[in-house]
Amino acid sequence: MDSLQALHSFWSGFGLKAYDENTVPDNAMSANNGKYLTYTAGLANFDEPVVLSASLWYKAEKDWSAITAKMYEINNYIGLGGKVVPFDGGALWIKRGVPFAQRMADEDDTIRRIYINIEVEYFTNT
Amino acid sequence: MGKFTVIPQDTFTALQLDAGVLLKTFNPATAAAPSDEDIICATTGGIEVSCVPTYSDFGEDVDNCPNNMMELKHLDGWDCTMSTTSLGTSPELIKLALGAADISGATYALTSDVSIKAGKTYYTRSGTSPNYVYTPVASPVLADIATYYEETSPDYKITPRRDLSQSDFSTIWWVGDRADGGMVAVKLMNALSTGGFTLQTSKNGKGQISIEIMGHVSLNAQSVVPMEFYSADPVTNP
Repeated sequence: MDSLQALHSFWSGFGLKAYDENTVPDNAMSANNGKYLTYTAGLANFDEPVVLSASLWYKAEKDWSAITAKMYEINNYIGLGGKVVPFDGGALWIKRGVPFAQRMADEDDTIRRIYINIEVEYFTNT
Repeated sequence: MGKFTVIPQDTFTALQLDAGVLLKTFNPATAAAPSDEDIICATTGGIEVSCVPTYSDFGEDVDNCPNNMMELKHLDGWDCTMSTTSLGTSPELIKLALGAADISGATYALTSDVSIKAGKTYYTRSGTSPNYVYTPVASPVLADIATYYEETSPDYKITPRRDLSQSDFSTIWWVGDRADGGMVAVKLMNALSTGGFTLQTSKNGKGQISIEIMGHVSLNAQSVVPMEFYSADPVTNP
């Protein structure tokens, strides 16, 4: 598993279908029971932390409770010290960004979106 | 890439991550997560751990002797310290920063409990009024409950002392995480704050107390350096 696969594996660990934000199918909402996650995939060198993001997308009529609960789940999983995700030849150190999460408006008022910031440091020799 | 532009393969496994924590007690054999009451204080800006030797060069004043001759180098001792900036202002933390100080002000009353409550601290009373001494009971027994006191309000007064007491010294641990899930730990023995108490406040900010703690050699173990180091992977210490 390489570093980008490790990042995908991390975002796929929250019970949602995770898409690289550049490969989201048009039917993502309907194909995934009204909720999914997108993330940015970026690469950096050792000792050069990079800020990446993800978004939670929920189909919900004026209700933030479910998407907010998922946001807190991710927040608590990363924790204060971050999470180290190993891959072949190294590891990712994923930490909460600042701000960690914020609600975003969508043109479609039935869509709820939370934008998540993380900081990733790549522990790799390549 | 140049052939010398490399880093060791094991760099990542032994990387120390995050600031770690100062603890009153820690068992490196088990590396169990600390309980809340064992954490000394919240800190800011990380924690500095230092163990620096001091040497004498016995050849320094010898004619024709080059400086730093290996066979004439003498290890005088070690300066072992931990320093940090604390965000806490509990009586225990202030006493730690002061070093030679006493905590007082707690009030006690005979307990009204009719059975020993698990997790509760009971005290016995000795001495005479107004200088009663309340001592925690290590293993309370029901038969003696009528003589037990309980704390009705905690200590709140911290008084610096003119003289040093052996009880002012304690063991302090710093423990931090490794990237591979293991731990790094440093034990500072016979630790005493030598930097005193300095509180810095700021508008719209949090008060910060600078702490510098030094380890000391004991008369009973004069060859023991007052600092020990531990570094273990999660296999050694799961």
